[in-house]
Amino acid sequence: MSELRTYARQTFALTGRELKHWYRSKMQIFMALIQPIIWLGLFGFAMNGFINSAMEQVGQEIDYMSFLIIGLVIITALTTSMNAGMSVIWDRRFGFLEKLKAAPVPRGVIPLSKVLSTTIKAIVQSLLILVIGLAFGLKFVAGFNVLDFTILILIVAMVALTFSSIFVALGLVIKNQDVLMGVNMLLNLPLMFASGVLFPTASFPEALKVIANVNPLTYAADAARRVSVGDVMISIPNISLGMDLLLLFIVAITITALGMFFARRGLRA
Amino acid sequence: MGNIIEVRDLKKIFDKDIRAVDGVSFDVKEGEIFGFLGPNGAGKSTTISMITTLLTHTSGHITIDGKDVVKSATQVRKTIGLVPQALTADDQLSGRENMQLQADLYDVPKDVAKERIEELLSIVKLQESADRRVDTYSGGMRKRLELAEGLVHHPKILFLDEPTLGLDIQTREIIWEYITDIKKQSGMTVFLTTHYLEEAESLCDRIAIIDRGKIIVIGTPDELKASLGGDLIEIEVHDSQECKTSLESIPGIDNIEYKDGKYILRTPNGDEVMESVLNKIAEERWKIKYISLQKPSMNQVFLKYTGKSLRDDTTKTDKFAARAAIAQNRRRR
Repeated sequence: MSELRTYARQTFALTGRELKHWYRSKMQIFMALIQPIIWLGLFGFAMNGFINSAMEQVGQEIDYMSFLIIGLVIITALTTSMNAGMSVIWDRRFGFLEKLKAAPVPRGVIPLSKVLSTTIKAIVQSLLILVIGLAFGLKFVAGFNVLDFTILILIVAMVALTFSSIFVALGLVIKNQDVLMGVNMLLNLPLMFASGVLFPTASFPEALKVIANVNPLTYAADAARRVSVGDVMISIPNISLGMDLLLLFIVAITITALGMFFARRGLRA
Repeated sequence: MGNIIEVRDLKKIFDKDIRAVDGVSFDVKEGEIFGFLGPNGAGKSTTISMITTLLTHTSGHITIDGKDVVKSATQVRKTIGLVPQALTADDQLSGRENMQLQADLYDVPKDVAKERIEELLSIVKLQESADRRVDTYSGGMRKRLELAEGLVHHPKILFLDEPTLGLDIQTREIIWEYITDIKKQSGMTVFLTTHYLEEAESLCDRIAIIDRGKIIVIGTPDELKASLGGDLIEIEVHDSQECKTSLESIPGIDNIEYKDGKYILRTPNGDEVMESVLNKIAEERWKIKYISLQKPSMNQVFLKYTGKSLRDDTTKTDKFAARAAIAQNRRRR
């Protein structure tokens, strides 16, 4: 019992360290927020016409700006998670990880605190994007309430949990920043584009649809849109919100467990 | 006093054939300052990494305070403090925040931690800069912070890996002072590695000279120096007077040689013998051209045991050391 209290204190201290880095680096927060603004300003306005006419052909009508803003909330959770992998590599290079390893800290606490701090960052950033989104014309669905809002945040948390576990484990196993950067690039595009995050999958060719349907980000974006901007904009209409959330939850738990397992192995080697 | 560290036939082999540590055995007694002296790449850091549970050994045994470092790693980690060679404090946090983080990681009770952090910061003279971010600190300040961090949980054994590497001579002496003070006050055991001869000599109770992964000799600085055959007194007199018989009557001289017009006296105790020699000179009214007392230096000790001088070692490329370093870094990345 007293051991659990010690682990909690260690986790809390290390999570706090990460968050201090983050809120002290004004540039880092600025960059994280300027990106969605550029996305909305360039990509959003440019694609608006295309998407709307493409959607007309399949007999649907969507408000692409609102669609994209919720998509960007999910993408921000993804990119924040990717950065967690890099921060692990810096900790190793500067010797901080070595010092942590010499301390009586259970190995699991090290990746866990990275994952927790990343999740908190992702939640805060997604809130800021929603606020920015309002300026770009984000329209919440009629009847949007506190419960819906809470579910939206939980979805962001599950995405961040899943992907930061993957990238923290990758950072600990790979150990080299150039290789990890390459892996990030390699995974970034398919994760983003082969999903319902940026475009409605209704207009996708069949093969791409199959990939999008196994991408957890599609389910995350769908669930997020169901609760915030409305049912008409989702990619996979024949499963319920409950199923979406259940799937996300199962994926988050499984991937986090696997991530911790590999992270501990990476720490030992 | 008992042994707090026992190392038996310790080996670390990288990449199948690079023997970074090759069968090392030694004991460290409780409360002493024990130093590993050797050139870069001798296996000092690799040994310290294995003792502090950071690296698993290929074979052999290490016990710390009676506990096996592999089987009871967590227990061992609680017992020891490590000040690594690199500057590893988080430079985006303040000095005090780094100390607090360390206290949290070692679960030092909160009220105790608060007091101890202030005390340590004042010992290493960082109180005034404690709330500044570490990236504004100088190299010496960062090293002092590292030292303070290693002490937050009052470890039984403090490991210092090259504690003054890259520091200027003043800062180095300040760090030495801290180390001796801490040891005096707390009776803590200190294990340090160094490739500075002065550091080993002025700090350590006992020194192990390590080279190419093997311990060549262990002893106190005085023992090591005495093993060179003691002090040398050289005397040159005018007109080549015959002095040998008179000199032989002085007690405490091991042997007297006459070479190139100089008498060379070998003795385990140069200071006392020198006094007698000076008295003899006054008594016999010899006219002295040259006289000197030479005490063996750690450099000579090093030269004798490793066959090379530590000073020029840094400029020569040691193929073995380079290979071992490459192998180790590859694993770290």
